[in-house]
Amino acid sequence: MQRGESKTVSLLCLMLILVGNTFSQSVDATDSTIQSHHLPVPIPMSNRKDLIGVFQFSQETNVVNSMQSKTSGLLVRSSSGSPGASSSIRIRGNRSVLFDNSPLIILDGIPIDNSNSENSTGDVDRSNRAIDISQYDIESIQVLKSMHANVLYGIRGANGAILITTKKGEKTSKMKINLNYGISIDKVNKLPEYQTEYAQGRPVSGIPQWRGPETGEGFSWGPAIADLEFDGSVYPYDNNGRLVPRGAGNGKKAIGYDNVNNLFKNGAKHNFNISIGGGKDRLDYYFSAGLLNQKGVIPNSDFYRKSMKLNIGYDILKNLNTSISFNYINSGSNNKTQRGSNISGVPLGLFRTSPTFDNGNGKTGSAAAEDVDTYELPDGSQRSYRAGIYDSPYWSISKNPTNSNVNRIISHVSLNYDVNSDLSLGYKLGIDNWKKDGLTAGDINSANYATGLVELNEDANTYSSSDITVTYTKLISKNVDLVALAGYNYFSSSFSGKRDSGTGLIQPGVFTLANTSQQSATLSDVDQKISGIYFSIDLSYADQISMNIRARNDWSSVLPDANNGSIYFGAELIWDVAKAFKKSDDIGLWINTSWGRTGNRPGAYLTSTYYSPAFVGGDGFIGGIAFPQFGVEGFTANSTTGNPNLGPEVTQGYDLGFDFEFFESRLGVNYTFSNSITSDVVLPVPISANVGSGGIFLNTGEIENSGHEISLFATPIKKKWTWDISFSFSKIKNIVNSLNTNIDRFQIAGLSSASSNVIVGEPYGVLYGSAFRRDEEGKLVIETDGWPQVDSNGDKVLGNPNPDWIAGIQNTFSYKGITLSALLDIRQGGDVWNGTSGILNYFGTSQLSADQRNVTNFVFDGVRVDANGDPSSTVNTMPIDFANPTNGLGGNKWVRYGFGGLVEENIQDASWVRLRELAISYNLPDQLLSKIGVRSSSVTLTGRNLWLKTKYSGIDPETNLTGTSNGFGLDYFNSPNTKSYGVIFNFNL
Amino acid sequence: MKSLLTFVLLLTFLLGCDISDVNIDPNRKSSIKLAELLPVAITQSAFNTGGIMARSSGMLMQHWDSFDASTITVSNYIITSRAFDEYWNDGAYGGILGIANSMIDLAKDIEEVQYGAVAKILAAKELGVLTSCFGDVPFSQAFDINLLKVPYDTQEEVYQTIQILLDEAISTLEQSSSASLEGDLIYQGNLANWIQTAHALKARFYMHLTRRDVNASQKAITELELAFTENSGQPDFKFGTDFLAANPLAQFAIGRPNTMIIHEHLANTMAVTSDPRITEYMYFDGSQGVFHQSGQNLFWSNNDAPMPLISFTELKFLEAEALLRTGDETQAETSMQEAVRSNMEYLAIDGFSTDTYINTQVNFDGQFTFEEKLNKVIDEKYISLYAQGALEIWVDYRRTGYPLLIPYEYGENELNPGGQIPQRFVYVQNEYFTNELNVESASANIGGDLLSTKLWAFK
Repeated sequence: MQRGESKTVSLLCLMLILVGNTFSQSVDATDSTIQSHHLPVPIPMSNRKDLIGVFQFSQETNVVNSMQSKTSGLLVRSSSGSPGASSSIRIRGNRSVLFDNSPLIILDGIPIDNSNSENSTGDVDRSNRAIDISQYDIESIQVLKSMHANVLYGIRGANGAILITTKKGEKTSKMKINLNYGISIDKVNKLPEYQTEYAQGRPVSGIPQWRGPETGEGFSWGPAIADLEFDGSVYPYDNNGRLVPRGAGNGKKAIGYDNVNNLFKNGAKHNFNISIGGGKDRLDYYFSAGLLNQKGVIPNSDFYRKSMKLNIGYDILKNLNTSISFNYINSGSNNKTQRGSNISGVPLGLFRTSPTFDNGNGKTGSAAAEDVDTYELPDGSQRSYRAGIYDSPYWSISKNPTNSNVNRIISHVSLNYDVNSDLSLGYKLGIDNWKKDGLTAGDINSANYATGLVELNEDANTYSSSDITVTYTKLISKNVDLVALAGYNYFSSSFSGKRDSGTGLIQPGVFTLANTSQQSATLSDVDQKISGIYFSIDLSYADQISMNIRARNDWSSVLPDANNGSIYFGAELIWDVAKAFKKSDDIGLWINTSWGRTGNRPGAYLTSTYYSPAFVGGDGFIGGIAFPQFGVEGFTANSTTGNPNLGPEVTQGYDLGFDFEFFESRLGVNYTFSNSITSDVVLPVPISANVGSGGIFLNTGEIENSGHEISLFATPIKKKWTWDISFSFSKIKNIVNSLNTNIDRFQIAGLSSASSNVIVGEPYGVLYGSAFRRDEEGKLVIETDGWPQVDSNGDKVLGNPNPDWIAGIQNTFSYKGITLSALLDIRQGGDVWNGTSGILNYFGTSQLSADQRNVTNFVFDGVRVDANGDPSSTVNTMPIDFANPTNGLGGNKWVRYGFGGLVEENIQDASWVRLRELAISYNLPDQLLSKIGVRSSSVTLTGRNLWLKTKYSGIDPETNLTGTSNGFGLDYFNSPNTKSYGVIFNFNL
Repeated sequence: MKSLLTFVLLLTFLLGCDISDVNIDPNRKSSIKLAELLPVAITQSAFNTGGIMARSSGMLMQHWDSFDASTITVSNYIITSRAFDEYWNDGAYGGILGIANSMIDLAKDIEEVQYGAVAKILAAKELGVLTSCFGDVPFSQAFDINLLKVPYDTQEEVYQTIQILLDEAISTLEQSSSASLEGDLIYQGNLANWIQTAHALKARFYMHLTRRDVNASQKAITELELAFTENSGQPDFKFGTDFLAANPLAQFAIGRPNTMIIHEHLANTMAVTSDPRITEYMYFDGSQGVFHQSGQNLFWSNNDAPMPLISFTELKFLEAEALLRTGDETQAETSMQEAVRSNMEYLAIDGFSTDTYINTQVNFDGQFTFEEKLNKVIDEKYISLYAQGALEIWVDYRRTGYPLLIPYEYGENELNPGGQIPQRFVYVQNEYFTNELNVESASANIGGDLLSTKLWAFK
């Protein structure tokens, strides 16, 4: 069908949520009214660039990952390769410091929860809740990017929206059955380079000396392994005995163990789905069941998801239709792996391990994790390279279990009543309810929990929403169409969290509260409600010009009564230029512009001040006294004061764009420029303590986003074989215009050394930390001893974690029954703090520390410091040795600047090019299949992440220590990412 | 059809009814009772009395010396604006003063005004610490969320405010003497004791102004007659035996081992006079005197060591000085002796040792002039108030010049020109960060934000 027709259809049914492949199939106008009972958001005129439709070959467990590089303006960031790890979505940048930057996820017209509140710098990789959605059930995804498009979401609209439409049966179709089975093997795709040449130890009196695990030695600055041999003595840390200089032992050469390779194993994923769909007369139905089982590359780590979905449509009367949807999901992990800044973390314990210590004690992978002798000595203490200072990775895997199990129901029911041909009424009620039970535990003698820990979590969340809509459609005159919509929306979310903790295990390995000597419990309940009225009016003239105005007024429970009732509004104008100038159908040109104002909600309970059990302190050097104490209860006000005048964060922005189409729509180009300014950004502003409080939540900051986006669709060849290209490019600039005069910097996420921050005049999320001193020209300032000086002015901005631009290129070749498809993902720029690298250099386990430890007479490029301690113009000529043992450990290049070195040394460019998806599919000949009752069948070989090119020296730089948090660009012993090889069998009966 | 529509409409409006009361956190309290604030206020007051301000003034006064780490900057007079941020923010303004302010606001009901009165006593005490340590400080315009940048009161105003707060407290308590006071961790609700404490504090703060108010001594004597008259009447806060509820000095000793030790000056002074309290104060570990030693039961550094908000011993010394200043030297000598005796009794020194020390040391036998006698009184006070009143000794040092101390040899630095023992602490960093104009104008008013700036009260 041609673009013009598609446009007419869109105009006629502006309330329609996409059902099916709208841009490749024609949609019947009467049909669309029936399906209009989704949340009323108009389809943008040129919608192709906002659609994500290709899912059948994706091997991603998390639906969010499947959206990567498939549309412009959308940045997906996966936090880790561990099963069930979270991924974040940002549409055209970041707007909030304390609250959500993630778009709304709207599933068949109802909002569903996609939170990931627990991901911290330590602990395990937690899931974002959209992971519960089975991709198998998804028909298409539409992304609402402009402020105007999100006006109808009001105070939840500023971060955009992802509209997911699931599969439905067809009323005219007989029963169709689909079977789909996919299996894939996962492997670690990239690791930091580590050395196996130098032993655990350090220089003692100028000579590198082996120091075994019993010394607690953390460093691998010992002798070359080639210069050592075993002594054959009985030694709990190695069956071959202790290490001694060559010639002094039993002649058996010392071994550089490959601990890293020994631990990671092949992961595997099975994904089985079945569906039945069809319809008759007034009924359509779709039922599916799915089972996904994933084992990670770290032993014992896993993720599972069982889901069932039922979609039913029924015409009660000719003009009264109903649809019902019910989705049950059970997902979770039997074991998640500790990671991050966490001395029980597997990557931390693994990568720091000295090569002369064999974590697996002769075993590898799961076998090592299952054998208690690899990680525990007979006396119950740890067998690890620092004798328990860090957990042995196998100990952590086996003795620090973390699990979680989610039961979730997403359901909606809707009614649509056509009063007459112009007027219709709609109602929709949706519920998303999940409950999660989880355990986090540590056995006695765990590095993090010496006496053991049991923590039982019980979280539950319910979203409920209902919409009443009235729609009026009228052809006012020959050339003027009107579609008007008005509605009332009510939304409530209710979270309840319960955490029961116990410390001091009585019996080792029994993770129940009853088995602990001290228990405590915390409760957190968060209730929020929104009630809003809205309208949208579309007018079109002669199928050439169309305009929309819309507005929503929201009352949100998180705002004080006096400030409530915030109004959001916008307008859009689209002009079909080609039609206006009556050009041939071969060329199409549309120009569009829109403006909108949307909001973002502050968190709950910030409008008043609360009282918590008191803590008496204020010394700075000693702890203090916590209440209840001395036999009485005591309470004090929380340190950050509530603000009874708090308001929403408000974003106003515009879009300007055009669409070109040539050659009967075989080539289409879209360009969009967007700009938005978010004001009243809420920050906890530190105030003079004399006000009686540490700070107050104020609407005070301003953040600006502007972007250039290009989408291109082409079909260069369309003969026996076809070639389709789809290309997207986004360049989003995200700047913090202002914060507050009392705030120089606000840390969004990270560690005390390196963090992601908002700083005035800098891009959102900049990386910040310690740096070398530099002169005015940026040259290093070198001390008289030849070593660069540290900047004594303190920490500074060191990197920008936002990519300069991102692009996705999908090529699809089809010939007869064979389809080859490849998705290339390019990310240019964007820094990541490789904290892991700094630490591995410091401990001497990185390959770099092996390659460069014998560098002598190196002269740093910089200027010398003068007698007054100021930078001079004299070029430094003083040579130094990187790690000369006679200078001791403290003289070493990687140790002298402290633990992990300076943050500046580890800020790295994380640009990449990767082959994100590759699939070769073969449709088996129909005539062959029909004999056995199969309508069609295909076999697909798939690959995910098979090729990655990056200068980043650590794991795959698509990673984030703090999950989907607002801060990003941090890698500190994150779990590595993976690549997959798989095959998918598909049968249609 | 109509009924279905009605049902749908009803359902929606039922779900969407009221949103205004939702934003109240069910897991935290949004209101508070006075009986829940009072124990916190009292504990905070006692904690501050033995906390960082006491340690720092004790080091300046050479009760203690630095041995390692953070304390070195104090005893070397490199005391920057970062030294007392926590005290200012969490101990004082965000601590006792903020709590007291909430209590005063809450205690409007006639049945509860006594809570506000006790809050005023505790606030007055802390204000005395603040102004004597820093000079001009915010108070009269503080604690107003609509005024985020709080101007400072002059030191003169602060001392007036202190007396007003105490007067108001006394008057309120006298009128409500039978009312109950729950959560009173010091006097278990006995209001008469609080009245006596208020008078005691009035005497202390009058005596702070001996250089400014010619009637200071007479005013103090009048107040002392209404204050408590024995050790058992003093406001002692009893810390717990558990480390998490311990006396701040014990917490510091255990949590920061080997950072602070007994100053040689104190050790030598007590050794020369064979002061029997020396074994209660310190232990010689072979190379130096330490103020805490496991198993040695040193009085002030035990976990459950008491902390008087103001002691009877101090009152007797104030009395001795006031009498001396008003010309009654004989009675002054007696008061001084009673002061030392009360301290020895408090420390459970045996009677013989007490008598011996008092008879041989605590008299004006070798002192002839007023100055010599004043020096003697303060010297004895210096020993008696070890670990419980170093802040007061620092005040005495600045207004009388006694005890005579030799400043740290290399104590001159940018913040301490001249290198003498500091006259005050500099304003905290957070004030420069969040309240810059006001702290700068206060600095200008007192004559510069330096350690060496002599404060109005002590000039």
